[in-house]
Amino acid sequence: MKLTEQDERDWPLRLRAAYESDHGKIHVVEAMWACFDLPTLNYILLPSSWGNFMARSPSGLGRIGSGSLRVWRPLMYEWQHNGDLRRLGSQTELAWRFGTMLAGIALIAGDEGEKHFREYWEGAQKRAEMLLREHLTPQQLLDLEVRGHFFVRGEINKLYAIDPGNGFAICDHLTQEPTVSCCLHPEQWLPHDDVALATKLLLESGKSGEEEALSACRSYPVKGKQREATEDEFVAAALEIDMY
Amino acid sequence: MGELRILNASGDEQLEWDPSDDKATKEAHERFKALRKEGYDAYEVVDAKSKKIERWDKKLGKVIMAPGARTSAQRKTGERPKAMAGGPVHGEVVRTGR
Repeated sequence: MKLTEQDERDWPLRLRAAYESDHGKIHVVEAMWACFDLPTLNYILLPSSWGNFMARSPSGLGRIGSGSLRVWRPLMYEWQHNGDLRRLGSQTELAWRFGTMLAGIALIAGDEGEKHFREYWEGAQKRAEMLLREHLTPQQLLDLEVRGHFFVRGEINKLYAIDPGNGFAICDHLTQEPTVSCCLHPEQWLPHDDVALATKLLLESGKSGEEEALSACRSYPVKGKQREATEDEFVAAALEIDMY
Repeated sequence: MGELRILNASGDEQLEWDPSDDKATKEAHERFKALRKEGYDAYEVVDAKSKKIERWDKKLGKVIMAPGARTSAQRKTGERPKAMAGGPVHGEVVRTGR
């Protein structure tokens, strides 16, 4: 079997090169995963998760089964006390899939592979964090430290909040409360801070950039946050735009 | 010196070029074109302010290339395979208890 064109694009070149040169060619042919839910009153725990990898190496086709795969599994679903099952976001899932594939590759390659994996995974996150912080204003940096998200001004909507790893939200510009939650990220995994930076650049690039972001994202109204402005808020907003 | 920062799975990739060096400038230009074709958007950052750019200019300063956004209709045609699109939203209810 050969790597498809999609595999060539998806598998990070730097990592693939390391495995091709040091360990012979290793191709991840298939990666699947499954998880069990254990509902409790307010949330779901994922007590077990495993992935099956089939990988081709010079010595033949190998399979890594459950118990031998080291993965981390964030909480993907949350079971509410009213019985609703809520999903925790596609960026998290994408990170898990990508990380699982890397972990599988590391397992095949042994100790060297694990070292490469750690360097690659952790290095990517650190570089992305540094790059994002370089491009935030002092206020945005402070908001990110304190609240976990930062704000960006727009033209179509006055205020957006960008939450690394969790998309962005349209906010009420007076109260800064999110009113519409939006998910937008590349199909292939990027570190969360890179996605946050890309979203910030897009939203700040002007009306056309905002339109692109709003038309491509998947949005979900935040419950209980939509309301009519009070008279005082209306007057304050009107004064802000010199209406009075 | 011009600088191209490309957002990708390794965090970011950096490519610098000196406008007086034709070879380096050409390499950066080729990379810019290839990424634009893949669906990346380019932003020039000047004094903490960013501006989207469509065309290459060897006198550009700091440029960040990030995946562009596109709608689900564009996604199906495969025109911009690496672009950003929406997925399940944090907190989205996938099954109700009622």
